[in-house]
Amino acid sequence: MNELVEIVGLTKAYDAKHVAVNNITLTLPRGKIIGLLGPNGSGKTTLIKMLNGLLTPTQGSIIINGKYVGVDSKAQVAYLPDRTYLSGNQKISEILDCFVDFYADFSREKAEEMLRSLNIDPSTKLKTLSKGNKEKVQLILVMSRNACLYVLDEPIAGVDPAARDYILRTIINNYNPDATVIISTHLIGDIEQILDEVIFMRYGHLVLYTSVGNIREQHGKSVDAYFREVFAC
Amino acid sequence: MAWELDADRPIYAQLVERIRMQIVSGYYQPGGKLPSVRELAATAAVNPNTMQKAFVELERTGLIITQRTNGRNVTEDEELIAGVKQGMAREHMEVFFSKMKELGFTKEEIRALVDGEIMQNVQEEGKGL
Amino acid sequence: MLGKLLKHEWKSTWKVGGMMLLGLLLVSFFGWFSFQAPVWQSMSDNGYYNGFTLWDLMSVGVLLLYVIMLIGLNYGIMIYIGVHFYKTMYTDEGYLTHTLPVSKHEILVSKILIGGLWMLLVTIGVFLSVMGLVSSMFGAVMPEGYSWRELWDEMQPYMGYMDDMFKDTFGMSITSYFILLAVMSVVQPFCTITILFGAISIGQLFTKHRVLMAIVSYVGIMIVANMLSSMVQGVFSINQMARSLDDNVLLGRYMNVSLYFSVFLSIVEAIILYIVSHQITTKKLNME
Repeated sequence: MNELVEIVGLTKAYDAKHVAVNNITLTLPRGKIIGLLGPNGSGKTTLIKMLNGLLTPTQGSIIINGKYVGVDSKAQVAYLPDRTYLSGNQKISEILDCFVDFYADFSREKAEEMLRSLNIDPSTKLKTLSKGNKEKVQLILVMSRNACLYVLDEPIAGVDPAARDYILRTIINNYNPDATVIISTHLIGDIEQILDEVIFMRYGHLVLYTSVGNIREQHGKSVDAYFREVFAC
Repeated sequence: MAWELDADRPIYAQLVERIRMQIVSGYYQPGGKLPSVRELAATAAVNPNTMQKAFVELERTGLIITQRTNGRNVTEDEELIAGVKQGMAREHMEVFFSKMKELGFTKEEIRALVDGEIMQNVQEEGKGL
Repeated sequence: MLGKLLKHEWKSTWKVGGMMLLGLLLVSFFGWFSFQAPVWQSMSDNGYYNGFTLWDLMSVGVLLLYVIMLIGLNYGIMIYIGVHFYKTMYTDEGYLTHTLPVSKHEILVSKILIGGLWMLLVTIGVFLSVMGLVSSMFGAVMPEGYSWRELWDEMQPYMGYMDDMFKDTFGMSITSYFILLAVMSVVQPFCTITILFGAISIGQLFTKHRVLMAIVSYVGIMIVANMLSSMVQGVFSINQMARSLDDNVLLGRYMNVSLYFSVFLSIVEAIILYIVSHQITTKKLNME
């Protein structure tokens, strides 16, 4: 029960040739910000989708906070997908209604306060917002939950430095300290200063799982530089 | 803005230096209140656990005092702060002198250069007024 | 949680659904309008055509349009509900649907209930519209000074005879026959929607062309169902033909059996496809 996420022998094979995630066994603790790193196509998103029950594993199991992936785990996992999963025709306030109804751990006050600080009026329709603001609204929804696991898929891909700062700040300011945050990215340098630990994937395999401190102390270089050197990516 | 941090040194050490500088320079007044770990981590865009580690280090040196009920404050001991300031100044001086020596300046020449620099600064400030 | 799902499903479909019902109202007006042309009145007054005017030609056009739009609305609501299901289950929006802390049964049941309800509302709307049209048609061709009440009074003596005829043919009274039809009409939309959702879910089993495969599955299911039903009906009618040559009874029995059987078949298909949808969303979900 002490460990938050227990992944055992997890495999996702689309067919014999195309194995997206290959026999990963991994245990993640509570209270850490963990980077899920690797080049595009290394299996990060596939792993994340399995954590959220959007893909059915070919083999292996995932237990989150003592529950197999299912209704109970979903109530405790806050997930930011790498795409817009909200209907543009909805008003933001309607989306808030939806989150209030379905997620017991969602704080409407928190979300409204964050929207206010961005000068986003909840009565506007989502599709009228800029692309950047749409992404921020989604992040706000996810971070307004008091979850035990936050899974953020490529939250900073393709954003400018100011937006990146906003996103990182929002994550740091809002996650519950007993919770763990998994952030996937292929841009290691942009987020490594907020990470405790890194998981590195390549070709669907788990290559390395260690702390950022370890890499910096043992190798005297940034995680970004280390991976560039060791994995040439 | 997120703090600019070097890629190749431990982050927590850089955070310690940065906060120490802010205390010594008076950005955080003696006895003044410090932001929470999470707030400061968010401002700097660094991991809260790393910020926590930096705070622990600053507490160890006595610059920061943790009050159980009231968060963290800068020490009221101005002598201690002055001492730290002196220490930091000395470090800078040592670096400066060793670099100047490497360039082949004598002590007299260095003094002359420093005096000249100061004079120029005074003049510029005068113009500015 | 089912209540909340129903609420949100309703909220996300009521605009388009309501617009369709509103459209139906408009189309019904067209139907009524077409019988205001002088040609109908002249038919009942003189018993022969006075020759078409442009106005009459237009009214026939409007009537044609009415029929086309009615059929269009009927399919339109089904297509809309199907597309809405596909969008919220198997496209980007499905990322939210499938990460809500609710069971797949709750998701499917909420979507079937609301989708079926819309189909039912449109069916009822179409029924009322056609009734309205029929009455306005009667109104148009009725001779002057002749009222509905008079028609009713005139028909009254024959009702007992009609009821007897009905009992002979279908083995039940007119009232119970219509109640049965009504119950079946209520059940049918929910079955249709469940079958449609099942076909869309089957499309997800394919790695490519999932929408196309959904349509192919739906057409396939319909073909198989039709084959089964005509086989059973064929067997039945041969069977009956051998036994009896009484035309009336044969026709009635045949209609009864084919009605029962088609509803029975719909329910069985719906149950099977519900299970299929549930299995696919729990065991085979592969969001792209």
